[in-house]
Order: sequence, then structure tokens, then C-alpha cells
Amino acid sequence: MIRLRIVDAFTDRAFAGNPAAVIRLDELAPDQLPDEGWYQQLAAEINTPATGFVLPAEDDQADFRLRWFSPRVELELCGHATLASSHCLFDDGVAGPIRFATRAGVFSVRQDDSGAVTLDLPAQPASRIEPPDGLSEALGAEPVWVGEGGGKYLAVLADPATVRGLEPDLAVLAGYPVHGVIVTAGSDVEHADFVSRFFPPALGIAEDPVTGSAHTVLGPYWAGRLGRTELTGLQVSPRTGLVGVRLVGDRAELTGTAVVVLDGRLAPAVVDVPMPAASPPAGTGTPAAPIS
Amino acid sequence: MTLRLRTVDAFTDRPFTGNPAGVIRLDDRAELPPESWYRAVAGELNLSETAFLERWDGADYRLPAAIGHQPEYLGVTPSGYLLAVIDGDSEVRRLRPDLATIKQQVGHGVIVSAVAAESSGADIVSRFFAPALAVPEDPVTGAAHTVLLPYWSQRLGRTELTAAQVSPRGGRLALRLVGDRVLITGRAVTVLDARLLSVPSGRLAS
Repeated sequence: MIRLRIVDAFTDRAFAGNPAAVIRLDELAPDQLPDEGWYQQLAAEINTPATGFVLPAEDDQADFRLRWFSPRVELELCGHATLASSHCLFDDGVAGPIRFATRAGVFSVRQDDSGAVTLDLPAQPASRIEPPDGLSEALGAEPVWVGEGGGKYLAVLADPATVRGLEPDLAVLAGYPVHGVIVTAGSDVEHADFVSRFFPPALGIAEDPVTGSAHTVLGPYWAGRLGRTELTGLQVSPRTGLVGVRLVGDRAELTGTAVVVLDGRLAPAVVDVPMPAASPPAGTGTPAAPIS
Repeated sequence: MTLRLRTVDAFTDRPFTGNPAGVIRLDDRAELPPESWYRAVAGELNLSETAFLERWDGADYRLPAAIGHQPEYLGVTPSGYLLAVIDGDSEVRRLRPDLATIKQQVGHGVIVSAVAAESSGADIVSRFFAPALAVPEDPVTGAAHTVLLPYWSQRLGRTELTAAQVSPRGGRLALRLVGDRVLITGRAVTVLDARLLSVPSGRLAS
């Protein structure tokens, strides 16, 4: 029997934050692990923005191996599915800190007394660039500063209300040679220091609800502007989510809470699906893409 | 307080094919959740929805460019769905329609259909594209076959047909026309059996 949970990450409220499915396979022996194509098929079936698979560690550098899949491709780095997977492991009584071996290297995760989970990721400061052609028109607003970091554009606007109301031309954003466009402004609420939204149409997602990796870019920018190393970001997508950012040297520690929305088991027929040899699942062989 | 939720792949006997649907039984509840809860759960599970089609009639001229084929027959329903019949099973399978054009110019959605190849074991093949409903392609669509059957029944002179929806996931339906009703027969396989943990407290008497 394989357990599956759906967890809303970077929120303390169900149906907000960014949903991820979490599947623990770490207690299986290597020869019991599913065929390679199964991971992508399952992620497509569950169709959450990301699915995290917790697998046995391959050496003593890490406690678990962690892989992330969108419904279409395997991901290079996914903050919200890491938060969701960690939340489940801590729920199950695993002691922290937990070291995950991932495509993005080994990194560690810890839980504080309140239940909040902190991910230790590399900071990705944005460097200033000339605004790309058509960006202001596509956003419908003139950025006061544009940078590039972590494979994303960062567009800073003067007014948080503009960020909240943005309806960008996604076809234009999809044409830029980056994974997506982060749009940000100072905060208009007391419990956050800045607001943001993230549009990665090139990855087949119009808007990501809450994006850990975007905050490894946002953190250094706002830390420089506000002169502080501890900040709270509010991602003002329709679902909304809160991300704590703490800059320590060249690392960005992201803190968030998570809520389990669904807890169940995969039906036996799913665990042993014969792989159709003639038609590999969509996404196999396509380059992995980093997202949240 | 939790609710049981099952994910079922419909119109198939093999997991990861057919059309996935979440099923939640609320029929034994004295009080039902507020309207917003249904939308929140559907949004969370992110499963494709089925479009409902009505009687078809008429024609449309914007479609050939969007699907890259000149249809040999074109029909439109009162609610704006199109049925385009083209020549060739493999043409339907290989179709890569211009979804932006369909979304902007061609109503709610397009069913593309053809006579099935003999080797397929079906009588007709089809695919259904509904980008305006945020469903670029629906994997297997019962409602589309309430449009397909009356057309093919007349053309092939039969009231019972086997249909293959040849989307990447794929699925099969057995169809029977009885007077003005379409009887659809299909299989389904349960994929996930779970408890939904977020239920508005006090709103659902068990």
C-alpha cells in the first residue's frame, strides 16, 4: 500500500498556498521501487503543480533522496514540494534536521517548535539588466527596476496594488529566455515586507501560487533595499501564501507552514501498472525545468 | 471530521488512462457545504471537467485554419461547440490544433472525429479540445459522444457503435442510440482512496 498526501505549502489554511502531493517510498527496498516512467505518470494523474517522491538515500551524505515532478516534467528544484514533503516526514515522527539529496544538490530542512519548516537554499541575487523588449507593455506597468537572477526576471513595480491587479500578456512572457517573470513591490499589509507574483508561462503554468525559488531571488533584493536580513514575503496570487526569508551569507533560508488537505492510499492497481512500451509518458526525455 | 474522496479513471480499465474524476459522496449528510467549498475542492484537486453539449446544427468557417484540415462535415451546437469530421483515423490522432485560435475565435470547444482504422477495434475515433474552459484537451468525454453518436449513427446506418477517444491518455466508450437518448457504457478504475481533511467544521452533520 502506498500512501499519498496532498499538502498546501506556504500557508496555514487549506485551499491556499501551493499544493503538492507527497509520496513516501523510502521504506521500499531498491528492487521494490517503481519503474522510472511511473513517477511521471503518477504526477500527471494527481495533477497537483508538483509531486514530491521521498526515496531511500543512496549514501550517507543524506537521509533521503527527494525527486520532484510537475504533471509534465521532472523539476530541478521545487521549494514548495520540499516543504510539503518535510511537513509529512516531521508529522510521521522523523527527527530533524533532514538532509535531502536532490537534483539541486544536498540541502537540509528543519522544523521549529511551532511546526514551521525552514529550507536552506542558495541565495540567487538578481543583477540589474536593461528591461527586455516589450516587458512594460506585457505587464501593463512600467518597472522601476529590472534584474535577472536564478534564471528568472525580477521586475520591481512602484505600487503593490498594481502587482495585485496585474493581468500580464503571458504569450510575451513565454517568449523570454528565462523560466519566468517575478513581479514585486513593497508591502501594503502589516504582516509582510514585500508582495510578489510569479508567472512562468514558458513552463506551461500561467501563474505559480507560491514559489520558494522566487524568494531566493526576492530575498537578496529586498534585503539590500530595506537593510535587513530577515523578511516576510506575501505572494499575492489568487491562492496567496507567506514565505519567511532569512539571508545567511550566500544562503537563503525559507520558512513556511503547511496543511495536509488529503490523506489516502493509491489503489493496488496503480502500484503495479504495466508500462506501455510504445508510448512513453509525456515529459520523458524533456529537459527538467526549475520552478517554485 | 473528514470526507472520503476517491479518484477514478473513467472510460478505461487501466490506471493513468481514461479521464480522471474526483468522487465525494455527500448524499448521507444532513447539511451540505457552502457553495464556495465545492469550487475550492475542485480547484485543489485540479481534475479536468466535462463540458456539456447540446443538439448540433449549422456550420462555421473559422475552423479549418485552427485544426489544419478541411472538414468534410462541420456542425455547431446552440451552445457553441463544433463537430468537425475529417478523413483519416491517423489524422485525428496526430492533430495539433491551434488552441489560441480555437479559444479566441471558435466558441467553447471543438470535437474532431473520423472513421476508425480497422485495426483499432473501434468504429469511430475522436478528440475534444476546449481551451476556453481551461481544458486544452479533455482525455475522454462522455458528453462529446452525445454529439458524435447521432451524427455517426445516421452516416453509418447503425444504432450501436464503439468509440475510441484518441487523446494521449485514451479511452473507450460503447454507444447505443435509443430514440432520442444516448446510452454510454464504459469501465472505470479507482486510482486513489483518501480522506479529505479540510471540511468546514459544523457545516456537515454526519
